[in-house]
Amino acid sequence: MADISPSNWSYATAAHLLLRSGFGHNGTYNKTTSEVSQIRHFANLTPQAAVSELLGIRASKVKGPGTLDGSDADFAKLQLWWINRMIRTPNPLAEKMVLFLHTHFATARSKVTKPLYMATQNALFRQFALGSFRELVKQVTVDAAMLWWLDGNLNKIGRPNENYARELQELFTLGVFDFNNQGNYTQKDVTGAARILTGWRFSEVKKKIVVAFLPSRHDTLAKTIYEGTPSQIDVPAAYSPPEGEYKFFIDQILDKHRDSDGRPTAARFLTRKLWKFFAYDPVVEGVNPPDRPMIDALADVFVASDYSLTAVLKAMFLREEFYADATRTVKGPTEYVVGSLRMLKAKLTGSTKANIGQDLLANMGQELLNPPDVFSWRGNLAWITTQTMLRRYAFGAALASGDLGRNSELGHNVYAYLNTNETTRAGVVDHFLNLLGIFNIDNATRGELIQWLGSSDSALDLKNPDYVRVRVRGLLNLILTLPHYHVH
Amino acid sequence: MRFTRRQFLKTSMAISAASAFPSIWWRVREAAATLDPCETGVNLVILHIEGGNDGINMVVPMTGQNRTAYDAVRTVNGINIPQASLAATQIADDPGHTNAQLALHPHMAGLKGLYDAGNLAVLCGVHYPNANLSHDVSSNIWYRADPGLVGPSTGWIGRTMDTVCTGGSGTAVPAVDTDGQLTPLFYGNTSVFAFDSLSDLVFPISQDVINAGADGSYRTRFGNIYGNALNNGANFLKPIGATGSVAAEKVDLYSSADEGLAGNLSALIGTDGFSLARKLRTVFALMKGAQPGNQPLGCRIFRVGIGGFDTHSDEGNYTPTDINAKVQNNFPGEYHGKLMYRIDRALSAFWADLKADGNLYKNTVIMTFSEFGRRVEENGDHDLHSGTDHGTAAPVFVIGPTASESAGPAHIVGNGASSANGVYGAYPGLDALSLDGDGNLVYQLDFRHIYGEIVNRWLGLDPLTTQTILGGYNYVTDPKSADFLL
Repeated sequence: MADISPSNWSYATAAHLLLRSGFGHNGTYNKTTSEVSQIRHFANLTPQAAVSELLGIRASKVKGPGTLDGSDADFAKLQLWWINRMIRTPNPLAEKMVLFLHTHFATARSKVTKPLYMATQNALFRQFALGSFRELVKQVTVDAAMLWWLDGNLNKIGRPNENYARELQELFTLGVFDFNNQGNYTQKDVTGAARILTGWRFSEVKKKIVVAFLPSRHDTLAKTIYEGTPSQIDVPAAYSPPEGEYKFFIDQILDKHRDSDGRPTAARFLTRKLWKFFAYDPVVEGVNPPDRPMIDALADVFVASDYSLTAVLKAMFLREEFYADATRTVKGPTEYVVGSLRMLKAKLTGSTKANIGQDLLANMGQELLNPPDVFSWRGNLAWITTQTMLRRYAFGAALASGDLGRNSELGHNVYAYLNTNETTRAGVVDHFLNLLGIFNIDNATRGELIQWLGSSDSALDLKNPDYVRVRVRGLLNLILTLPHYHVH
Repeated sequence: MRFTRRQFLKTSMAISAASAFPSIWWRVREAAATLDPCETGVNLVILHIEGGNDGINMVVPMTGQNRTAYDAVRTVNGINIPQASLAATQIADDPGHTNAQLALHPHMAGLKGLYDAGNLAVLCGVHYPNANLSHDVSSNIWYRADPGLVGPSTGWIGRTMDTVCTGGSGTAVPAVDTDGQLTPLFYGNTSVFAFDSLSDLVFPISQDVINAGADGSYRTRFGNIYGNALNNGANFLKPIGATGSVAAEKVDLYSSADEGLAGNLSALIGTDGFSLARKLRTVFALMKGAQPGNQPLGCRIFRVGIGGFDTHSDEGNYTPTDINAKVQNNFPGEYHGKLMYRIDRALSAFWADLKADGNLYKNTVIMTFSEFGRRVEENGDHDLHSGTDHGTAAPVFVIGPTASESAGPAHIVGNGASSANGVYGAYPGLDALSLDGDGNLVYQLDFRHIYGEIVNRWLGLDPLTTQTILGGYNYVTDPKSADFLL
């Protein structure tokens, strides 16, 4: 397998790229051609050019979320601000990466109770969304929200707190087990890493967050991590400068840690996690992922580029496997809701808008800025439960029936996409399927949708507002809740 | 948002009960109705105490060498529970040490009552070999009953249901996860419902479709599409087809269950928003069945969770003041004690509701566990910001009917019974010499032993099948036997 060839590049693959790399197209629709202009634009490029252009989009300057004083209402404000950004941004890839980094460095307002801290961390993710992972993991280590969330603030000489030291290795860089189910570190390594990370604290001065290194709290003795393995890291006593010791350690993890295949552990682990987030889960039963050669090829790109997120994403988006029809992954609630609103250019109003983070998305299982724990949301099939499916059906019904001017909370103008001169039911069905990124659907499902519009093409009555309200909006409701629409 | 509830129309493309899928497609198959626990009415409730519960403060050493070790490294009020506060909740002595008295957390007065009545077995020092201190990995080990995570990725309950649920008419869902997300405990081939609250169970359709009288045909199309995804869809569509179908089809039946029937839990929720009490109230309502008329829903195995136990910091500050005042003030500064109180109140109220029903308590067993316990020594500056780090062994509670109460195939051998007094296993040594190389407690009772007694003696599977479900582990020949359930 290799990169996708220009001869296989099409309107459908371009739509797929926009869906998986972000939240779908921007809803700019060409009524003459019945196509989404943005998809057509990317489809007309070569895959190389399309991916390069996608990665080169710069987001325009957007106002921040405003003053955040510390109340719960300010968390709702911050969540809405981020969600709106995902819906409106010209660079959805960057916002999708912020979402990835939020799940990777999962930090929750359940413990970090001040919105300013979460907003500061969110801005850090945005700054490095397409930058150096090496630099990002260093900055996250001394980020105030993270020092709060994983108790770095309490970590001091003689009394190490192991919380961040464990997750730095388990979740942020190495993983518990490698591809051969061999452990990547031991409890002693957790304790040793905690000693390396001692001394960092955050505080607030005049409502501004200040992070400082306090030498008196730092353990300056020598540390040996991964002792007796090929990955052994030796931190000399009185490392200088002491406030740089954690950076040295992180560099060593990224540069020296090898798994039981002798491969760079962190690059493999991180690449697989990125692939799982953007494409699909290559690991079926936990070991020996079938796509290991592909993951290794991508990990090599990651290492060769000195952990550039842009470089590894570009390589991922060019892979033939990225466009394979055989495998899909379940959209998370944010991808489902944001993508739908974005592609239909729907307007959020009223209480749906005010509570989108803590009501709509939370009830589907994903309250942004509040993952259930440091392991974050489990993702993929775990999104699908009887409860969350019912919540998705409710969103689909509300969005499909929403109508500008009808005082709806999810306003969306179905006529913006409807060619009322269409004469076949199949034409209407295919049009809305493609609009929402669904291609190559099976005939049985397509047949049900066609039947919903009437028993024959003569039943089409697109100039009749009552028909449109019941049958076309009903069709949209069925499509927004299709099993095929819950995956990408 | 505008939507309404309508009866879901069953269609000709309803879910096939016979089709088999690889184990990863959990929830794929509509459950069969022949699960023995469904038919015989034996209930099992599993409570996951999430985050790594400080078990040393759930069952606390009062005297002896463990108390000496405890006092030496736990100095912060609340991480160290004063001996004087433990007298009222004292239970039988630690079987593993001489002259070693034990007590439940002082806020566990309700469970102490169940212990005294012989309904609570306290199993000490429970864990597994080669402990993993990751929340997720260790949780999966408990869910899968697989210390090395080398076997199938199914859960021990999933495998149990798959063994029992063969064939059948496909009308029952034998298990419910009361968290919105399904946990690996249930992974297998048998369908499981997962939801937070019965009020979530509504099938939404646009009002325009309903007004036009087209909701019936809408649900037909919808059912056909989901049935098609389940039966003929690509692998990545099958689980969505299965879960989406079950949700749409069962929603009206399940939502008729009445949480108001759980009087004691309802009263508790009225005084505080206990999430555990809410979930147990849902469990109680489902046990009672669809309303009106208590029609059996077939749900007999339930998972409930209570979170917030990852107490790396600010764990302590216990005060033995008037409990009602503390509840009203939300336990100012007292963290772990508040959680112990919530578990105590919720489980006691649940048991009271089961008893008030007159029958349900006779055939219900409740088991608690946490993915791991915590270290003996507190971390940090020995001040109120101190907590405890990830550890290993911790106690497991099993609650059920006594010999005279039980209408099931077994009963709890609790306090007052001839030999055991309701305390099993052995309390791990807390002194430095007794800890393992990483400074952690050495487990005294294998968690699979507990599963074994439950699967074999409570759910009624034979010992050989039980051994298969437990990945080859033979609880009968395990020298550290317990026999808390006979």
